[in-house]
Amino acid sequence: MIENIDNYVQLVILGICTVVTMYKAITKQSRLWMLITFFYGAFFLGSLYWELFYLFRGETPAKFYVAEFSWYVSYMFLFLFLRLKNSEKQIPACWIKWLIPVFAGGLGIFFMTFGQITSNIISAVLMSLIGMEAVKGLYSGSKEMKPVHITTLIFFFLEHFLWTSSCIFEDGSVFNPYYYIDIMISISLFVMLLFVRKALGNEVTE
Amino acid sequence: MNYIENIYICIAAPILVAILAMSGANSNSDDDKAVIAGSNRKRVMIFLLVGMTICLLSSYISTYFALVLDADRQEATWEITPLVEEVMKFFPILFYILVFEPEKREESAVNILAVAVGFATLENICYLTANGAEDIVLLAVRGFGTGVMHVVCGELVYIGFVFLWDEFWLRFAGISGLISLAATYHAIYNILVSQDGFVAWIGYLVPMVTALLMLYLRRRMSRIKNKLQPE
Repeated sequence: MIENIDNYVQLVILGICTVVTMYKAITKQSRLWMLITFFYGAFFLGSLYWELFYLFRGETPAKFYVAEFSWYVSYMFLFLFLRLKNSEKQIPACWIKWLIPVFAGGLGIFFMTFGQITSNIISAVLMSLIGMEAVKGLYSGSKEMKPVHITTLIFFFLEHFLWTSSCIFEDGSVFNPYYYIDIMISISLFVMLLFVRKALGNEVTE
Repeated sequence: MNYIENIYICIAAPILVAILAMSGANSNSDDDKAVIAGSNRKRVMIFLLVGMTICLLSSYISTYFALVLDADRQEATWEITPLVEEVMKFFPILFYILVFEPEKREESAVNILAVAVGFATLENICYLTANGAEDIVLLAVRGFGTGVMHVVCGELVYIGFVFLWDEFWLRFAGISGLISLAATYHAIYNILVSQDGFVAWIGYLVPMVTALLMLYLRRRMSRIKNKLQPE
């Protein structure tokens, strides 16, 4: 029950975010908006696929990881968005960003003890890239983008808490923190959209 | 038992003959426009044939993966086939753009739609031979559904060629990302249409609605572009 509520909340939020960003990408004709649309769209499609697979087959997909590919792609588009935005400004070297791969890599090794080596390596690499870009942007990026970078970092840490909780808590009860963290991720994604909207408000048409 | 090779030969043969017949058709013409139009028509025919060939090869590769991963029919359709098909459909266009280096990349990328149509045609014919042709309504909906779904997936990858080609890292990451996105969309379609009744109908309608939305967005985009152009 709680799992379904969590999944549906996430699908609705991601669906709204995808439609809004798609509309913006078309009206603004901006590549940055397009990348953020693909971020939300890929996350939405991955979650929808996962939910439908579970609904009609009664088990999670385990042969080819289509949903996982979609989520990796969404991380990649978020990274591309942050990188493209950060590249607009000359950013000096920022050593603190290297703490991110240490954190993601360390947790990645912990997750690998539960299986799935390749997917954990891919997740750790992509999440590290996102986190590093967010820290870099936070350190010396534009003022309007700072809230976006903060929300990205919140998303980064929430994702890691989610994966950690899925390793520790395996029950499907309402007391499992996994579901609440997942709902928080959905909220953080929605908040991110609001900040992106503000940051790209004056984005010049490309 | 579905003899896909036999069907392929039967359908591909007339297209191949047409391509060969078109080869020298406009070469002696002095009119440049006629030559260009002729080569465009020939190219579309070639990509149509390539799409059918890709459909045949995809079925081999999907079957191989299904055997290796010990997947049942449903798992193969929902998990393996979409990714294999979308990756395979992309290769001919990538080959064409990298090897022939056409001047107008965007126009060349449109050929991905011809590949998609060729692919969907052979797939639909195989479905017909396996399931019969009695129910006209279902076949019409399936014909449009599958055909449009492949075109929508092709259009998704086409976006990458048009908007994300400028820088190497953006090109590589963007297009591979869009292929994966197309594969997930394809997989969702496969899940829905493999159900019975209402859910299957929703599945068939999803690509049509997406295609209409894409058409509307494209028109809106060109309208905005025209407005932004200085008079």
